[in-house]
Amino acid sequence: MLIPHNKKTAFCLVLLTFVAFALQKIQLFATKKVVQYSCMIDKYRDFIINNQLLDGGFGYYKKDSSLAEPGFYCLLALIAFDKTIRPVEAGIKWLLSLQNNDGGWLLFKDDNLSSPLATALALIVLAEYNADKYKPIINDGKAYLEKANGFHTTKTMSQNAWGWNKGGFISIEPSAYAVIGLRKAHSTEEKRIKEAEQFFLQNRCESGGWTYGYPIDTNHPDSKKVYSIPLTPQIHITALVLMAAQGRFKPLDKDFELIIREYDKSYCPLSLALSVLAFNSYGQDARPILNRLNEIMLKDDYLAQMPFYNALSLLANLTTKGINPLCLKT
Amino acid sequence: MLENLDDQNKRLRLTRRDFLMLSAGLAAGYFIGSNLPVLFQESSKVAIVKVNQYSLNIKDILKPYFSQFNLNLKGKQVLLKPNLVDFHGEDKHITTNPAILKAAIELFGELGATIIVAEASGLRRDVNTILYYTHIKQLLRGYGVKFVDLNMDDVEKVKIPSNLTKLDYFYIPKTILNSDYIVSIPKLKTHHWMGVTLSLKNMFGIMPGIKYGWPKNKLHYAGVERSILDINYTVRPDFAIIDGVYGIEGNGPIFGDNKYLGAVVMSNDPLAADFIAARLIEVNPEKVNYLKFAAVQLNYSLAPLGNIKNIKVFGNSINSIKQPFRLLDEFKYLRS
Repeated sequence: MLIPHNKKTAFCLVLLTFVAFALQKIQLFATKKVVQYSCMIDKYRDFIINNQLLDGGFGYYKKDSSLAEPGFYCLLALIAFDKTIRPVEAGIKWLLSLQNNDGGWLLFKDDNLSSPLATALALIVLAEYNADKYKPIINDGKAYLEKANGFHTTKTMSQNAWGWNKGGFISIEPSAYAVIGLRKAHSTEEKRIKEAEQFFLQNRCESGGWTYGYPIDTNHPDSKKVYSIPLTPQIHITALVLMAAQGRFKPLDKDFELIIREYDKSYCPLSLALSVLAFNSYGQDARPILNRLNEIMLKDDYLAQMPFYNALSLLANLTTKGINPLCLKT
Repeated sequence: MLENLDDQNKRLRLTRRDFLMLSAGLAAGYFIGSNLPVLFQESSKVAIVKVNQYSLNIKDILKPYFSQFNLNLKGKQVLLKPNLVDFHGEDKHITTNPAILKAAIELFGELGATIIVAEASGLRRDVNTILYYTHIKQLLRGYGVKFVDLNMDDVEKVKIPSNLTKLDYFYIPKTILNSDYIVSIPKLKTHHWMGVTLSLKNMFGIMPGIKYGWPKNKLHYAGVERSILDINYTVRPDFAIIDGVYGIEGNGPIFGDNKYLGAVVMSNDPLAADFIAARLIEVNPEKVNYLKFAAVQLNYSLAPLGNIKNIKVFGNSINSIKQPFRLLDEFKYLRS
């Protein structure tokens, strides 16, 4: 049906007004969100800086001793924000003090064994901070990870992957960290990375994603009736494997779907922040997960008072500015 | 994750030979005339308290029995260690019920103690999610009680006095070491490798995952029974409150079935509490390997982890409460 000229003009004007109004609202909303993320970035950064310990490190909790995992994440987050700020320099000195004689990194000052997880995180931090300046140190750490042994295998988990510590079993989480660390340090140790990838691929949970190791719980072997129960995948481990897989093997849709299905039930900043970084690494919309993370950090004072979770939250929020140090550009 | 550790566990299972060697060592200690620690002279007391439902005021039910332990903890830091190993839905009784934890907070709080609740969850890194879904988060907020995730605590290297694992040292969370009094508050469950899991096994959950892996896999490799004993010799719990209102039978500790018992077991001798709790589910504790070893003197300088001779049971009788919890085939021998 033809609309009379004057009516058509009126209709167009109304339509344009409506569109303009909608656009304005969307822009306002978007601006508001950006402002909100910026505020969160400042809040998390300030908290981390204010809770740096005298030795330059950070603990999981406020006023704890410095420990590798929270400390290295705090440093990584500060470097991602601005590597020239003063706390970073002191932090790097502390990080270097935790390097063990074998090239790996200890979890804390009086630790007895190098940790693949701590070493991988140290490599990521140094690679982000100044890879050229710290090349020899990075090379030592890389060599440790490439050769690290003493992890036990089983009949179904027989790959030459990594464990939490010497004397423990190979496990998905430290293996994912080791792969990310080696790739950030440009390792050419292709064989071991491939073994770890086989380990990931062979131990995927039935419903997608990954748990600590073998995805089936079995009971005692002497039992006449053997129970084999699929284990629940863990969000943070799945996110880590997704990041380790970037540009290497293609994750399945169900790996991402697990996170989409579970994130809004999680109260764990580690799981949520790593999921944001993983989704961002694959160019997927991570804002709903990020909003969930910010929401629980705002509501839960217990979480808000932990440098470790502030660091993870800062890293996750920095993805809104296009910054993601765990994105492995290939 | 823990499949195929069976050969390892079989290899590391404490055997009759170990038992005989320990006895020989102990006898040698006697002959040498060293300072043999004074074995418990008095009988241990264990309270069995009928608790029909979690919805009741459990503190009021437990208090008359609890007060008989005459604890003097005014001004002391008391650490409550529930079992928060994982969460599989509110209708699955794999974790310590918040009603039992609430009663413990109130009972020890009334003694004038400062309460801390702590756990290093064995199957979840994100214990915060478990705290929310078990409603323990809300409980702790309401009482202003501090929670410490022991997986993230500062640690200290501590020599293992028994050293059955041959690890020599444990890295123990400082919150544990700085506490004056440790209360193990497990869920009463059968266990697919150990037979039963009670207050001594619950102490597995103080060990930090960042050092021992998830699910504490380094300790599994070192031998679960040996680890349980070494952990308890290194950090002895002072008191046990075993949540047996609902427990888990069959393929516990995670995938078994709910089983109603309607009881709480308390003692200032956690080993004695475990012995009595085992009898309540018609398990012979003397056949549970790690409990058997916990009851003997490991060497001339280490007293047993508790006193199981002539345990004085008060409150309700074993016979008035007991009922068989289903056991996996390989643990049927525990019934006799």
